[in-house]
Amino acid sequence: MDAVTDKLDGRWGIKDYIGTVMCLLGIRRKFYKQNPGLYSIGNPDSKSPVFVTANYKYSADVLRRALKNTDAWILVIDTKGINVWCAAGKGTFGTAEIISRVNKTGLKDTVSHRTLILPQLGAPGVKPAEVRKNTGFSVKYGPVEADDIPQFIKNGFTADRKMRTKQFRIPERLAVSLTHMVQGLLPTAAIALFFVLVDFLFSLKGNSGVTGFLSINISASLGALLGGTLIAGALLPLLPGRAFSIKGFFISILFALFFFQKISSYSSPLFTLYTGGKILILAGWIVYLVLNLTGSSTYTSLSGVKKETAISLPLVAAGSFAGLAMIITGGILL
Amino acid sequence: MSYIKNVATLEYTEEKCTGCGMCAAVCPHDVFQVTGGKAKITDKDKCMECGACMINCPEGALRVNKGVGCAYAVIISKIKGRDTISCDCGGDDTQAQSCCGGGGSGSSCCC
Repeated sequence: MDAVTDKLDGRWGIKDYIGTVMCLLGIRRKFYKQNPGLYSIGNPDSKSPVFVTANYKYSADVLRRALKNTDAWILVIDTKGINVWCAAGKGTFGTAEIISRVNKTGLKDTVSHRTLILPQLGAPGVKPAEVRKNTGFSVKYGPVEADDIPQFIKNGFTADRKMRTKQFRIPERLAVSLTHMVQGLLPTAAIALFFVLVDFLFSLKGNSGVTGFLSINISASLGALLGGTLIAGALLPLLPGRAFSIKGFFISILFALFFFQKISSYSSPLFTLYTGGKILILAGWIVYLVLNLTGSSTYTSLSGVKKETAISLPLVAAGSFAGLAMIITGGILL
Repeated sequence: MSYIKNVATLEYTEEKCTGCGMCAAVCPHDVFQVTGGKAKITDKDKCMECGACMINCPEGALRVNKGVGCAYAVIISKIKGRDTISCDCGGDDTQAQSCCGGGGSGSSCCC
């Protein structure tokens, strides 16, 4: 049986902020864990409430920050370092782990009441009836956001409709699209490198028409990455359409218009064909990137994603092949 | 913000409902309302198929093809020939994908 492992502090230190930023950038996230177990915050006694969270350190961090003026117990369960909502979808934030962690930590002897407060987003993994049968504790769901917990407590441990609804506001949209941008850097660099290489190859024919566009190759590729991640994330509700691929399609049109106008002064039909091919490839990349934002959004359903992926992905592939053909044809004939 | 219409697989058997309100308590998109001792689906298009209502309903009155609304998971599952769609995050030995690291709120996905 584990004893009460540690006292937690509601304040964040510099390490917590650095860790959070590193997670957003996708650095060492796999190792960002809190040890599972029972913790205390403030000076809890046997009547103090018990809050359950995941062992993704950030999840535990936002909970202890929300509880900084509260005397409470925090039960961290082992979700393999994954946040509450994601882990609940997989069942790792779930009935079996809660039962075993409650029993392992001897929570029954620490508190006299029999209520566990779970984050609402943990609900997809939890069968309250089974938790009660196997531990004696009944499950009460708290608010979606840990920051609402003080208000939840004031309301007599009730979450109102607003607290129960998951939003997708701009700070969160920017945060997740930043993560997508970092993950998209490498493939984007590969696309830019490919453009630079074909420029070089075709310039070997002695035609200088395709050289001198190094900076445009790079800025266009980075522009596509930005458009498909941060810009899409920021503008998400303003972009037309419900499907993410349609939203991405609008960004890619704006992107294409912008870069076409930029190169129009150099225009010859073959050069337009050659550069148009590049723009088509990047436009497809934008749609793909925005489609992938579904995974970090808070409201897309699997049925919807399946539907729009089945339609948009073949179009993206076809567009990219057409773009490739245009580059080759244009490059050879230039 | 609302997603693609008429695709959610949520099914509700009203006869089984006892009006306990668990579905309304767990749904992150306010899909249910309990009035007169019965739950009602107010807007099915808001359903993101997370499965919270299904597993928490003590009467088994709700059914949904639960899953992750994530294109990456859909694509990777297709490539790997999986029957069920899942992302690669959540294990000790797999690379956590963007969604599962969580962004601003640490819970920005459903995988």
